[in-house]
Amino acid sequence: MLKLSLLAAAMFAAGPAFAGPAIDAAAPAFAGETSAGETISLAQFKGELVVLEWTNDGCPFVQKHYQTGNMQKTQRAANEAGVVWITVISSAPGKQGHADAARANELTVGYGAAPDHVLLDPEGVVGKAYGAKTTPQMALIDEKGVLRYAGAIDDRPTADHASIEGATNYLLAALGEVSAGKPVSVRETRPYGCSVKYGS
Amino acid sequence: MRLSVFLAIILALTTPAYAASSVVTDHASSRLIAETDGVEPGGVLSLAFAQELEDGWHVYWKNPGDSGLPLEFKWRLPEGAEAGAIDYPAPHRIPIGPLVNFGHEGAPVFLTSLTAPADAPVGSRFDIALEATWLICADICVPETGSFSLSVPVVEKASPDPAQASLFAKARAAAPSPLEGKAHYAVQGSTLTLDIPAVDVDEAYFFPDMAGVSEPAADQRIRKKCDRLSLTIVGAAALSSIAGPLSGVVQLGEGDNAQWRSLTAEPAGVAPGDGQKPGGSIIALLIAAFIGGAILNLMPCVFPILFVKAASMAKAASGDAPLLRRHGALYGVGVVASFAALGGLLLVLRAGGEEIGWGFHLQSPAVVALSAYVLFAVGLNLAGAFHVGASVQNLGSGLVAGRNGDFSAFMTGVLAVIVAAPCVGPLLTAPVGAAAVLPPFEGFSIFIAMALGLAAPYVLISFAPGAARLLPKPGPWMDRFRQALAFPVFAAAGFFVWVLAAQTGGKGLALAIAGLIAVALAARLWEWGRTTKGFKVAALIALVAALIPVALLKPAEAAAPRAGAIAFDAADIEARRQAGERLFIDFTAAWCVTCQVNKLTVLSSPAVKAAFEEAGVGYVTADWTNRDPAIERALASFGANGVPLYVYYPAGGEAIALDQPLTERRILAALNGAPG
Repeated sequence: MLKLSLLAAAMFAAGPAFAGPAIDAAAPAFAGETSAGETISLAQFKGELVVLEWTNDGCPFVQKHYQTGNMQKTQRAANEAGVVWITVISSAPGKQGHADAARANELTVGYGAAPDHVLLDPEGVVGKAYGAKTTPQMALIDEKGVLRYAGAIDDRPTADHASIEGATNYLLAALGEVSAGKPVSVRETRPYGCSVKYGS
Repeated sequence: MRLSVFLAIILALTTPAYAASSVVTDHASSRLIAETDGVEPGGVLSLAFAQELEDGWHVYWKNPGDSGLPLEFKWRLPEGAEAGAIDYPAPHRIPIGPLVNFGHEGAPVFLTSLTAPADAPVGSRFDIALEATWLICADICVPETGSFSLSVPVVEKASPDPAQASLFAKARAAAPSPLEGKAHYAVQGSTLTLDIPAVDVDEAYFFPDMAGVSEPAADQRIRKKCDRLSLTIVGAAALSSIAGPLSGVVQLGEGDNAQWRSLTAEPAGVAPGDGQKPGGSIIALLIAAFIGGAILNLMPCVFPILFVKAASMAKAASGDAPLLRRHGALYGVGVVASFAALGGLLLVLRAGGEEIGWGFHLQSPAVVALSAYVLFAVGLNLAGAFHVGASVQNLGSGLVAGRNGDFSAFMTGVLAVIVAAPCVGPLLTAPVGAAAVLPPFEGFSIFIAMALGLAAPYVLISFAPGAARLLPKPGPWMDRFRQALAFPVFAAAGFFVWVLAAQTGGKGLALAIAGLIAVALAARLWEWGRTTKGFKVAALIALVAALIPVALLKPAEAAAPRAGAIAFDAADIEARRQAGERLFIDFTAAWCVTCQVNKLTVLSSPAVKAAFEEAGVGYVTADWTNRDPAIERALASFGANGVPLYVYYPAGGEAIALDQPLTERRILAALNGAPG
């Protein structure tokens, strides 16, 4: 008889992984302080579409999207679709991209960016809850609080500014499909960019 | 000036133009180097892209891990020339906070090659230009680019450049060498299991070539068994897209003694670690399936039906041997066709992404109720409450509704398969489990082997000349025996009713009893119909009426687990394990006879209960009586596809699936830490 014990594999996860939440499941709840000094929580946006964008202004991949105006363009398109756009800064104090409220606001103004909120996440709590690995990295949450897209902003994993042209913007594609009440065709992609500069 | 920059400049000044081209960037100095002093027409020119990185900075492997980007080459080559792939040095894990990247520090050398055009004239030059882009990171990341160019003479006979020999030799020695022996992998949900020939190491780590297949920061659990070593790897989003061979590099050991082996793993349905070659294991599974099928004949579910069949054969044997053979063959066809249908359905549903397993048809209350009806009707017939067919003598054709002996033989085979399912014992758990995850052809073969095993004894007896003589002589005792056999069959019907009660609660039980009464009524009406016209129609109406309760059956809410038991919840179990609790998981189902026997004999024994209590083992019941995808996945993670399955988690240790048949001794041994 073949021994079943030989077939035994891990029933559940083998060890701690830095993995994000499941797509099409409830998005992890979070609350935190914004650069405007408000406290926001995911729960308060129930009934609205929410986009999370991880950023680090020192990261060349983030710079590609901001210096070419691509991220701002994406934000405005999302604004028009009635989306709540939350830019998240998960860099720890002393690490690249870390920003206090004043610096975060300067960056927003300097880039002409259009987020609804800039969430300050110096402890990396929100970042880790969403398995945010890189900057930039995107998440789209629907009206019911369900995570519908997670991953890269587009299909060009490079810091080359010229790559913006002709790229497929995964976030806007997912947003369009969710707004139209359709299933999202690309629900999860491998994010690219600099690692999120967590403290630990 | 940094030393590396200085060295690069010295090298640039001292090396001939055809041999190397250097670029110094903020955090690296990089050189493109040709191995030979020229290239032959149509020949291959080996090149090294050698980098010296600033201390604390790294570049990336082809799969960069959690973040980062691999090296990218853009070539400008003479027409007709071709560029080869990049051969990366052995990857290292580079932790960045909670993330892990795969890459290289220090002085990585990337090898590649170009093929010169076959018509390149000797004496001309092979001019090549490369724009290389790499992302280099410490805590922060910087993309860097360098342009390189070489002009290599096209020669009759190229010779290695002695100045570069050691660099190339070292790079080749540092590259992962191919793994000896075969590697296999299996995917179960979000878990990847890699199986390779055993190596004497305590730690191992698999780097898939493709990004997004695994979670780089997750520990990979190593497990050694006989001459195999398996790694349990937490999968990531791209794992579900893997089909066919999976390539990568495995690191064996840590620190100075670490070695890297490149491999291409073939998909293996049979969970790895069974210590057999795939060819060997499929044959072993087929044999196990055949033997398991044959043993099914002796199970209480099947035996009465086949005995009656055999008894009728003994009667017929005195005369019509060809008819006997014909019925034997048709019975075999019935068995094989039923298994093929069930196996095919199972595999088709699997392919469609359904999470189902063996015995799945018994998870439908309607199928359970119909099985109870059929067995009840068979029992009534055996007991003599009604008769079917032209001749009372022909017990075989009386067994299953239908006048035609051929059809009856076939249907007996079908019935044998249906009633056999609850008795699919431990012997068949492994083959059936494997069947569901093997490629369709192999999976289907296992079902057929099982069918042949079940059919074999009866078919052999009907074909072997003289074998029938070994059967007891026919006589009046046979009628009595036949009537006596009605009672085990009633017991089997009773068992199905009990299963139904577990599935559907008291309301379902009431419906089933109403249906059984209608079946009994139909039997009586049918018997009257043998002498008086019209009653047969009434019998059929009663039979149809018996089906109404079947349509009304609905699965009840999950039944409460046994007293003191913990209901199955994967997240809860993981949490309890993290907290260091010991757990025993009983994968069971009401319709699984083996499970019930184990529960009554082994699991309820005072010794086992006391041992559980003493060791503080939490008893988890995973009840699969009704469909439950979570339990299905858990079963699959142990390579099992049906119940029973018993798993013990020692405090903080790895899961042990207990061997079957389950015995007190095995449970106590597992609790005491002896191998299961």
